[in-house]
Amino acid sequence: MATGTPIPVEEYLRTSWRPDRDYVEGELLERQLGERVHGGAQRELMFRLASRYPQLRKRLFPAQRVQISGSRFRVPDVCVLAENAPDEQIVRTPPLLCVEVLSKDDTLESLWDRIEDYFAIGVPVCWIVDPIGRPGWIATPNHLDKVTDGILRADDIEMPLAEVFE
Amino acid sequence: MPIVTIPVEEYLATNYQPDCDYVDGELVERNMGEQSHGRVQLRIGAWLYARESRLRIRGLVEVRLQINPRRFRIPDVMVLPIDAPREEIVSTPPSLCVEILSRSDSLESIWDRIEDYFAIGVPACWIVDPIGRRGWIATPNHLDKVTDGILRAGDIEMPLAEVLE
Repeated sequence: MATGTPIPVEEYLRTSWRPDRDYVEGELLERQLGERVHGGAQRELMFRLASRYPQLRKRLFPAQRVQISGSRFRVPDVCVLAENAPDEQIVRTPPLLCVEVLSKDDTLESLWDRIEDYFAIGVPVCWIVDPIGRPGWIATPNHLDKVTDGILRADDIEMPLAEVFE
Repeated sequence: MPIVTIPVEEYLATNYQPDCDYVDGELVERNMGEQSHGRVQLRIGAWLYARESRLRIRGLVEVRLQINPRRFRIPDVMVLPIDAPREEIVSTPPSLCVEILSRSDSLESIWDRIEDYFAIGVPACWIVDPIGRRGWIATPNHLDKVTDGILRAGDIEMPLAEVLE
């Protein structure tokens, strides 16, 4: 959801919002409304991924700004960086995985716009999880597949959906 | 919209404007009467109507579709085979259902709706985004963005550009 008057990218880059916001062509876009179920799923994803894959622990980031272009920044709920990713304050190297936890105001349009931005910079796969209805989806460029066997997958990474909602 | 729970008999006897889905006792709002939604709905209906004889289909706009005794959905557009029974409330699985996105449609709400269509045997659904000017073809558990500009379902091939404004 857009939050009012367009601002220059320099202002976005030097400002801290809580929770942080996407920046798309001058507009600030709200990502989530601080809902407890959203935060809980985000937290469990981080903890469970780190405990199943200790080698990922230092490459897992919650709400990390990812630069899509000079005027576009997205903040995935969780992202997993590549093993050899450079140490960037704002991530510009495509993450291996971006995860979006749905909030009640997320529309299909806004969600698709966001994952298309990830794919545009070379992110190979995104997970989408719904903490209310508890389904999950695996998104790849132009495709969205509902998880039917209870496992979110991204290359060698596997995460049982049930663990995310515990 | 606040949750409104009513008996199925009341839903079936009531005329809502715009009509509402009925899901296990709850009335569920479908769209907010937006112009972009209505225009694309009209254009898709007109596109299909012009081809009904050739494709041997019947298009229906905003007609109640019974999923089970306590669940009714109203696809924005649906397509039935030309020889399907003429039911006032459709219970024969359509060959295609089309949903046009409204500003507030979430992934969960759209997915819930198309899963109901698939549950009764609808083979394919189209989802059209009149603002983002894009479309998807949904099959059970999958959603594929249209990348060549053509929405397909059996013999029906509809160029997106012909129905978007």
